[in-house]
Amino acid sequence: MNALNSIRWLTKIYPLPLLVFLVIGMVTTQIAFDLLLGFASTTEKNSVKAIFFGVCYFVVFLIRLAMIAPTYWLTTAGSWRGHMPLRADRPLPFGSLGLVWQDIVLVAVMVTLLALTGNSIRVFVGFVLFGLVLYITGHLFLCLESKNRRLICVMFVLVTIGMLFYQFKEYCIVGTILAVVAAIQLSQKSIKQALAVQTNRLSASQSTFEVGWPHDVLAPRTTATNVDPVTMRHQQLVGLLFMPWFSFSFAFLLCGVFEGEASPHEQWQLASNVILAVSAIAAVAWLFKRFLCGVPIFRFVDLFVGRTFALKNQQIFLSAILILISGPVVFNLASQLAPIPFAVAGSVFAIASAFLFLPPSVRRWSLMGNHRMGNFQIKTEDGAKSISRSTTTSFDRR
Amino acid sequence: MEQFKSPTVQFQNVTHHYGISPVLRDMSLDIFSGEVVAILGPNGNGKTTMLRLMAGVMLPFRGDVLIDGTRRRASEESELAIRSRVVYLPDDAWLPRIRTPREYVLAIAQVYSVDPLVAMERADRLFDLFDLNKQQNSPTDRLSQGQKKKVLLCGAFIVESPIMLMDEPFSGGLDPGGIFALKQLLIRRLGAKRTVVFSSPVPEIISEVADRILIVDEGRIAAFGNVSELCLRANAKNLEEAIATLSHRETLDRVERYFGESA
Repeated sequence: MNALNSIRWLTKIYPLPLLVFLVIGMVTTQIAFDLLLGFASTTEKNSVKAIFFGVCYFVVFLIRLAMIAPTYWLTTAGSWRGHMPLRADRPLPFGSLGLVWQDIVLVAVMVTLLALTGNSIRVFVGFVLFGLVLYITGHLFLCLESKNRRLICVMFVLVTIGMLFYQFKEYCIVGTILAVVAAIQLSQKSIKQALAVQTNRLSASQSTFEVGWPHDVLAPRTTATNVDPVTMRHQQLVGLLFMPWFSFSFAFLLCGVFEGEASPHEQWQLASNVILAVSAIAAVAWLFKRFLCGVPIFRFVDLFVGRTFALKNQQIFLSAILILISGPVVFNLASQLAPIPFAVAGSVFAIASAFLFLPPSVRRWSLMGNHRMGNFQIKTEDGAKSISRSTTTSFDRR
Repeated sequence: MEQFKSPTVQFQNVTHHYGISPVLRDMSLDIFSGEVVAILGPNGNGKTTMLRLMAGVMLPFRGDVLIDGTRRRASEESELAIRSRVVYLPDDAWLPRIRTPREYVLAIAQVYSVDPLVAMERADRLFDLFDLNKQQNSPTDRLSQGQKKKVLLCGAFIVESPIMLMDEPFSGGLDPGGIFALKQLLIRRLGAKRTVVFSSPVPEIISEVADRILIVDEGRIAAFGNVSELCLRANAKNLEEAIATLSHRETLDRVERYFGESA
């Protein structure tokens, strides 16, 4: 009966098509790796496979959490939660967020697949632990959604502690398991509490209050109690505090993985390239967010070309360039004074700060950017006269 | 009679907007314990908004919505206490795709802290009533639209809560059997203390089921009373005519104009 229940549980949490897709994906990738990495050394092959299996663990654990608490991922399910008397001290209707013994079955399958790739038993243990750390990371996503500030901080610390313990091989088992247990225990109640009381993410209620400029001046202020006191600024500050810590731990972990396989210069070069890539992605994302203002109104191509060549958007290009160079500059300076993980943490902090705080903000840009308020000309029918008018100055003064 | 009862659902000067579009304008009403109230009115005139405000998934811009004298979403504890007494079935309710009707219905019972044995017994009776015995253990994505609606209704009725709010419960592909079963559930509701508020555009169903009818027009209460009161007010012979006069008088003119022009 128990075995039947376990099979039922697995089929509910991991629907069969999804499992088939995952297994086919893993086997196909395994074959592709063998073909593509035919000339690489065994260590290099194993490193690439290890990263791939790490990603698979992450996906699997994330799916498991999503199936248990679908109200976080689906809007309609979120609305359902919005009127249900869900209480933190009672079980969730579709199962436990914590690990149950049926999870071992799945881990065993994944370890077996990993074994087929020819890795040693030490790698298996390492990856089971790494999977558990990723499971906490999955929990972290739920915590981010629950917007419980204290919980987010604790979860970030536990994720990074788990990663650090993974680096200290001899303590990895105890440390990681402790981190997992602590994370699950701490997060369970808070997540359920958040599930129960957080109702303000419903689209209808949001559209009521976020009517946008200029209509929001007409909307009366609400006197309702907001059950969720976490603002966007709070989230930004928490993110800014923990991103360097998280990247430090990740860099520390990777340095351990590459120890003995790559020279310090190669490690520096790899980290430098990663920082450059992160800066570039951040700069492009920052720029696009401002470029895309007004897309529902104007055609994107016109918008892109127009705003690029109109010579009215110097401010956003300047800020984007600053984001682009902030990471590499800080990394180059810091890496001469401190080990690579510290330099990575410093440069991530610089990129994140620039990304979040460099002007103009999206809100300001969408309302008062030069693309809205720039000079425009009104031509008369005969073309003899033209009237030039600028509203930028008057709005900036306001 | 009403002045001796305490209202179960109260709107106190409720005004609500979507953006800058007004939906409800300074609306006040009392719904008493044990009443079945039907809301009707033209599309986009605030029926769903009223039910959502009663269900607490939205807050009004101005005014208060009270359930048994307690304001909705005043505090976490009071809100959870209200929710445990209210069942809300929206028009586009969520039904998990990979779960079976039985799992979904029992999950709702679990959230409302219904005793598991009682929940199973109620689930069996409801599946039998709505002719879902064969489908109760199949995933919900294999069900037809009408069967999905029946599962949602089973989920709403398994709780046997004192207050039920339902948005268009008779629509969504229900077959005649389903409509009949739902009507009987509302008419022969278990215990006179159960308050039901639902919206529906069908006068025949409303006249059979509802104790009082609330007609909403352009965000205001156009009329609120039982069938005879509405007929008297509209000087009409039956409910359909009364609704036409009170709720969509222009439609009568438009119909006359349309057939007059085609003739």
